[in-house]
Amino acid sequence: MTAALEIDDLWVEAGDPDDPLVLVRGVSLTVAAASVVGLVGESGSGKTVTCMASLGLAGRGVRITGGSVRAQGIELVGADERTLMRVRGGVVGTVFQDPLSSLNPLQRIGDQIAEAVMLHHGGRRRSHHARVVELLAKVGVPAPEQRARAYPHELSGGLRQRVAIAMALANDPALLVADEPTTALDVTVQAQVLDVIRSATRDEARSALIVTHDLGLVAEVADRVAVMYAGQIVEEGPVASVFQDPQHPYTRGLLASRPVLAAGRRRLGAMVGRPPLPGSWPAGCAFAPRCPVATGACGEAPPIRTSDQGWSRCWHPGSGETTATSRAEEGAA
Amino acid sequence: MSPVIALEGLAKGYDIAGGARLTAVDDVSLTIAAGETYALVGESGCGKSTLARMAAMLTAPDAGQVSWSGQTVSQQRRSAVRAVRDHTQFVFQDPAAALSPRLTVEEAVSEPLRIRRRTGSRSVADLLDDVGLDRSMGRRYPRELSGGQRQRVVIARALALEPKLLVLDEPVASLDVSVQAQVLNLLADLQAEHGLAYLLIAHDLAVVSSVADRIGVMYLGQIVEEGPAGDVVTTPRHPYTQMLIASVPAFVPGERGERPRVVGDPASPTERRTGCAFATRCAFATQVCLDVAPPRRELGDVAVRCHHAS
Repeated sequence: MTAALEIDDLWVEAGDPDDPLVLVRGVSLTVAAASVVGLVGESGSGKTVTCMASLGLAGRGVRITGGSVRAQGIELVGADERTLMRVRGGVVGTVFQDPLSSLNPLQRIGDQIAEAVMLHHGGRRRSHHARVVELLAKVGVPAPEQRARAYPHELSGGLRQRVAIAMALANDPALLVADEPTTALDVTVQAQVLDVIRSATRDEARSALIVTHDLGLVAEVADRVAVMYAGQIVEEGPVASVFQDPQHPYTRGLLASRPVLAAGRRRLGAMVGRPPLPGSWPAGCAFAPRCPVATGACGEAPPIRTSDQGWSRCWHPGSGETTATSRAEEGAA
Repeated sequence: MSPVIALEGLAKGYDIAGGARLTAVDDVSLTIAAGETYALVGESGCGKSTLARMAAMLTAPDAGQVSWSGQTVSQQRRSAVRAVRDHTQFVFQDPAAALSPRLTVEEAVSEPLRIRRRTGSRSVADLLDDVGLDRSMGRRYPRELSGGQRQRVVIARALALEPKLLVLDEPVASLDVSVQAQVLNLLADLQAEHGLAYLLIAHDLAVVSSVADRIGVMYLGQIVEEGPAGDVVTTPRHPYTQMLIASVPAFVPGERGERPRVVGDPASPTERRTGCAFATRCAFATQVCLDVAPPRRELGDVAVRCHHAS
């Protein structure tokens, strides 16, 4: 069965071609049919660039220098704009963090959704009215018939994000790509939007790639997770095994530093330092300077070790405890 | 021991366009002791920030009073108001917006003292030490710092006037996950060293449960549940608190999708209403909830505004 998305050894860079700023270094990632993959990382890790560049949306000055990206078998790297237009919104639906910036403030939301349908199916705006109402109902917008006539500013943040998801689903894409879809929302609304994403994927056998910094979100909706650090995926596997038995020390650190809901004040397991930005990635294992189990070997690029159903990029996978750090060490962050 | 700050029956409303009135804060009382962290949680627009501004005497309440160390502060005495403002310092979500791009770290941290024409007991170097920044950082500009370092500078600046209360308004929400824990740990250390009282405003209950002593849950201007953090988190009494807790990602793969559904958005704060503000979203609401505003009731260590909580 064709995978919904196959990223193979993707390299992305920006800036002066003679002295480029490397943003993504050989990312390979597969989103299988009807599966949900979470791509996790901190700022500068390259998670958003990976997903945007894959869809030809990376913006001026950012270019793919190697690798291939196939959506439902269609090659996107080097594809002409017509192919990309057909894929985006057709094969792949996209949802971004801030629904206000992805909606046109001057157009009724029903018309915007109808336009998304028109772009791929032709016809006139009015002929898609039934489909628009159906989509709004599907993402849980109450009174969809009336709401279709609303402008974005008349809706709450949660409703706007539902509208953005409805628009992404307009042409029944095989793959949903969502970049931080709940970050800008209140917690209660986050949970509601997650429910919408869950039903749009699970109940309709749709695949999704969800880019986020929030490990909780990944635990909620994803089947597999890929953890990015300094432009590379450092660990990939089924969510359950990665969360219960993380192989890479960075994954372990991320999980330890995330507070969980429980009684009692407590010290959190803080990592030393901060994520390095593109252009200042250490040679060898990029995580080594922050790693509690780093050794001399980590000066060399680590090998890929496959485990049960996943893999990690580490010289010392699955070993060691994160140690407490002093305030000064943490301040170097 | 008298609390550092006590808020008694505070209320604040605003007239808005069209003749409507927006109730931002409605009869809120709370106290915070030295060394204690009081966390306010609630959705956007519930009045958390207005309440914090009234505590710091930046916004005058329509009703109620603010006491510091047991003394009621008169809104009319400017010197008293000014002292309260010095005793209360803020740390906001986005440190990039809170720091002037034109001031070096050293200038930023010493600015409060310069404005008040005071010499603090602690030098800029000491303050930077306190927040875990190397002294050499003093000559840098904010743009040369990471988000976590900037937030440390903001905290150092907040400490310059030796405040008694820090209002922490989503202090780690804009930081990377691996840096959030560092800043939260730092705040806990500073509190222990200086006996600071914290008013923490946050939406992330997981963060709140790991750092707060007490939690107040706000809904449309009122505190609907308040008590020791452990009680509120483990046995939430108010349906709204239960809903907030159900919204926190379980973080255990496999437990997904089996939690109570969260419904609706908060009602508008401009709506006139009788009865319980939460009734429109509440699964347990009965006729009494629509007719009668629930009074504050004590259930053990916890206070709840709900007719049905037990």
